[in-house]
Amino acid sequence: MSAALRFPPELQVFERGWLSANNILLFDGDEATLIDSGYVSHAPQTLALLRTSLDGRRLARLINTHSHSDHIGGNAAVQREFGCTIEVPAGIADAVANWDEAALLLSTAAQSGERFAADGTLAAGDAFVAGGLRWQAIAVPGHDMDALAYYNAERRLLISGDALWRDGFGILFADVLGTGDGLGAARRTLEAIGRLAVDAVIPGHGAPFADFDDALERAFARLRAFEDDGARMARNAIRACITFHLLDARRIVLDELPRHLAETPLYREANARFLGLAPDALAVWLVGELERAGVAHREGRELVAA
Amino acid sequence: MSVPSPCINICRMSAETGLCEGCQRTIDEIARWSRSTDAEKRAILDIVAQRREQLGLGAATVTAGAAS
Ligand SMILES: [Zn+2]
Repeated sequence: MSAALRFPPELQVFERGWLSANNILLFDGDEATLIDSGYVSHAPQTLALLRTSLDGRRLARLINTHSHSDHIGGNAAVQREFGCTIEVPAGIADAVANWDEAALLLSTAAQSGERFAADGTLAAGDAFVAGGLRWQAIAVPGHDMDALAYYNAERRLLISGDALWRDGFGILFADVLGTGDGLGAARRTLEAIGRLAVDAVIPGHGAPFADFDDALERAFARLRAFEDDGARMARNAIRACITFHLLDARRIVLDELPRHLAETPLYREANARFLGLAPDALAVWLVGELERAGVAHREGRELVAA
Repeated sequence: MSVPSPCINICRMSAETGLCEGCQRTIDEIARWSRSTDAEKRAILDIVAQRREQLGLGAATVTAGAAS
């Protein structure tokens, strides 16, 4: 795919990195809707992106695809700045209202967030208009069991969150943590979205893409690999989560890594359920993996993000 | 594969330079990245390389991520 995907001017995508999910800004006259708000520590840049793009128009509404820190981290700051309402998937409403840091995977994965209050919820089957387009909420459990994707049938656009990326999908936390059947849910989700007519996907991370069928094929292949080999899924989750943590913290003291892995529920559970390694051994493997992937390098007694 | 984004997840605007401290893009360049053609993206990467040189920074590294 060489040419940039052409979206209507009413639909703007801020392609962020991995610590912040992409933000999608949709205009209806002088009002706008934002989908997902990035990670908490990036909120000032998120606000700056919004100010420059809104250019005096009013941000009326913020909608989330799911509850993870890289998608909801800017909610509080965005609402403070622009006074917009916030709508979250119905399944996460209680976790947000009670600010349940375990359910929101903040304490579970040693991530940060800022508490906000939701003004409303969206459930599968609900629809809203944004960017002059009608978006239907679709349940896409798997990575997050309560996640929603947003689909526009007319332009055949899918806002997929972390349920489908160009190359894969987000960590299947329920399986890793032993709290549910994320694999089964993800399979049904991929089958369901595979039945949609889709010309372009706006994923939670990475550039928007047009090769929907290829992406589905890659996602199914990844899913099969995880179904066949739980240890591979666990190693993948640990690697991805520590990469996220490293992008957030920028450096980790090597001596403290085994304790971090033993105390943070995600690593502890993934290791106990699938790998059974001593924390020291897990740390040694992990550091090697991160160095090999070029994600981090050692500087003295620290592991530093590339 | 299209031109990869230079974002390295630092995503903090410098009040001094008006550039992102991670990728040395202006807020406008970040905002319109995904609407830019490949030629425009390459032009932004060229400017970024020049800015990094002027700022005394080394060549940019592209990080592969797989988190969230
Ligand atoms: Zn997520």
